[in-house]
Amino acid sequence: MKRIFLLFILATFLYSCDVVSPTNNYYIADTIVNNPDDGGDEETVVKKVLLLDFTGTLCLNCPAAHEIVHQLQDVYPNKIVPVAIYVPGLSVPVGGDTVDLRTPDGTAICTELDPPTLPKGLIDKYGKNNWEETTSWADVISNAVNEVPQIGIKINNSFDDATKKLDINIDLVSQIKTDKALKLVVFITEDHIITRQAISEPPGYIQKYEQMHVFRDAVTDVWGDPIFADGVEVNKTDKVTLSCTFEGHWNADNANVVAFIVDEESSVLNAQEKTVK
Amino acid sequence: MFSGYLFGQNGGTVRGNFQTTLQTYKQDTLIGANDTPEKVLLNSYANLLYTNKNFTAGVRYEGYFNTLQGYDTKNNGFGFAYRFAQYSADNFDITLGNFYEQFGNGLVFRSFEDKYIGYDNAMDGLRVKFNPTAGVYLTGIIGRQRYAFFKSDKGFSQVENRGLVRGANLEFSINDAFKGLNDKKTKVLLGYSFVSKYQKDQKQLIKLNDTTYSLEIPKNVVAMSGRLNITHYPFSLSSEYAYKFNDPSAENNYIYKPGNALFLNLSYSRKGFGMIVSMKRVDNFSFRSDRTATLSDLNINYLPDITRSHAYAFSAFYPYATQNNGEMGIAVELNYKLKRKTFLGGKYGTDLRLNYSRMQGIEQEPIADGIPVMQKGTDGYYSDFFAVGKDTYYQDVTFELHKKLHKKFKFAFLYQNLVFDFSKLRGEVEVGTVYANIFILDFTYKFAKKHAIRIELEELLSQQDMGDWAMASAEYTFSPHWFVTATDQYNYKNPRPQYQAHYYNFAFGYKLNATRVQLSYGRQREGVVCTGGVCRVLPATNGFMFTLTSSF
Repeated sequence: MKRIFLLFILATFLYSCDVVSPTNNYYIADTIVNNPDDGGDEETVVKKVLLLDFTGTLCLNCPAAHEIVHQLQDVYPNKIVPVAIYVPGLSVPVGGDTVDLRTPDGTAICTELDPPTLPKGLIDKYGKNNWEETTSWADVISNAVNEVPQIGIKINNSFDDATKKLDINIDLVSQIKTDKALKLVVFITEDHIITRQAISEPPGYIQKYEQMHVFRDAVTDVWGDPIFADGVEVNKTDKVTLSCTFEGHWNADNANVVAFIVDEESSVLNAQEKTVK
Repeated sequence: MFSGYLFGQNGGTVRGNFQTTLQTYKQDTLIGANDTPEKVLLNSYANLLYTNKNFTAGVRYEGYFNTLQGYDTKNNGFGFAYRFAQYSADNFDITLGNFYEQFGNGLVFRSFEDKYIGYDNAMDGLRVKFNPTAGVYLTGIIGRQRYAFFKSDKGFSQVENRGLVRGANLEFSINDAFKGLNDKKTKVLLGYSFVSKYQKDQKQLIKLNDTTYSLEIPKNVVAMSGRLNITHYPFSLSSEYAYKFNDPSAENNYIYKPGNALFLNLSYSRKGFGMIVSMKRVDNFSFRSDRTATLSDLNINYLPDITRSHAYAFSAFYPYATQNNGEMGIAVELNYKLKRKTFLGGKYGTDLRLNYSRMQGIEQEPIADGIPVMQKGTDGYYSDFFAVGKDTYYQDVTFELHKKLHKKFKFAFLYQNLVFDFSKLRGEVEVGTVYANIFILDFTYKFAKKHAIRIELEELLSQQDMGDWAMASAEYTFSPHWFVTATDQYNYKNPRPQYQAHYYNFAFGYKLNATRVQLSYGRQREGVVCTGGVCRVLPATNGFMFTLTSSF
């Protein structure tokens, strides 16, 4: 009997347990050296990662996700293209707030993709059932930024303040050969929009919260327009011309054009972002 | 699906059961119900079990075409979600494939399924049970947990990182082990459990003073527990204490404080009187096989709920959900039967039940000046084991009376006073704390042989959340085959008058042997159902629901 007990206790400790120790109260492994900022160089084809942050002004835990986006942009400057999509059910303006971040195209995206409990993200994916928890974003993005770019995207914007018309010229150059049909998706986003925002700790609201990367509209079809009509070959180029007129409450000084290429399997091959002005 | 029958062949038998639930959805803006592009959604499953002497094998086929609203859509699809082979001999039992298992109260390990709340964390691996000598029961397990239909190495974050779970359990029955104690009135059972999970490292960032760091993530995490159960009629004590080493995770905001949990249950039962006192303290005890998982995904353990589980619609309106990050509470239940043929008991006697349960937060103090409580990458907080946190999460005082007045007529009365921290338990700041009084009357009249009618009247009074509700329900049963019900829940004092809706529902069912068919039509209000800390949101719906269950 005694032997059985001893064997049992011994067996349990054969499984190791990693007990780690803090330094100055923090359990730190490494200092992350921020990646070099190439200023978003468009002349060479670089890989940028699309991060669709499904969020809401009434979502308590979403500000923490916004902070993670900000952190990741620090670590990988000009390598991440964030878009905050405001889920209609959790973005109803309340408490006297008049700013409404819900949009018809944003609602269409949310209806189709049906994001579960917020916050949730899609990283280099633009389709259902690819959700990433915020806690996985750093891990997934650290791998994605090192992927070889498959399509180069160069954006040229021209904005007319008088008519509020934006002309967008996009040059694409393929680095791959593929039989898959590709689509180009182009969004307008806007930074520095002040709204009321729910927070979890302490539970309540921040009355003047700065929302970033706010999805405003899809310039192409919400799910993209076909590109490379004659097939995708190495070094093959394509050119897309688009235009849209800004709505009265959009601020072109803070607006961006986001473009990304998506394949039939909802994978995003590359993304690019450029300020409207 | 499968047709059901039982047969014997070479000593082997096949048994099984199946269930299919189909629902149609219609948009109903008044109650916030959405339609669905598919128009009809369906959840179904079937179990088949083959037994031949000491050998058992089984499968469960599940199909979600697509998943009913309120269940996780990641289940969409179909396939054999559960398959196993098991061999049992005199003193050992071995299972290959999927299995469900629980160590003690589940504080460090519980693998189970509950279709109603859409939960299944079945293990896929190996389980061995061994009984080397009288009174000693050993169980060893290793494997990965089920996660919808994703392959075994796909985790919550969809990258290949779902953890490996391994563990062992020892139960030692002193009375079984020593012959001289076999027939003693006092029974003593000791238990020890050990569970370890392995998950590969993942990058977690933290920014301090403009410098970004990555955290040191423990890849192997151990939890263990000890148990003592003593029974000495009419008393019974069940106790378990569990401890877990550093386990930073999404749920605890990546803090490193070791977790602990205590569960105590003391009961006294004599004819006509019973008392149960339960106590629980949980401190940072979420334990999952994927550290990025949250909500109901990939729990290794199960923290039982000590608050009363209610069956009536309005008394179950605001169910408590175990707070894995920290809670402490007490529950007391008294049952008393007023004897038959006494002044108060009447001709048939009267059953009384009083229940009190209260759940508080735990005390949390900063670990150092300038470091906020729950700061990522630190120990998070200090907590005095015996200090009660200032926040009341839940309080329930319920009085219940059951009385039979006549051989054909009986009734029940229930009064409940409830305090429910909506912000904490449901995560909606706007509502705050809900204070509610609930009254329920339940009459059953058996007006002829095999014919009975049951009337249920309920009232929920509250100044918060959705305001006051009233409910009336009538159920006619023609035993043993038929039943028909009509129910209306009326939210007559919703603070937003435009949402003062009737939630009507009509249902009928037919039961023949082990087969039951039910068809209902109407509105379902939005709500939550919970088992321990595992909860499912019931969305508002409007439409038909058809359910078929059968076993063979």
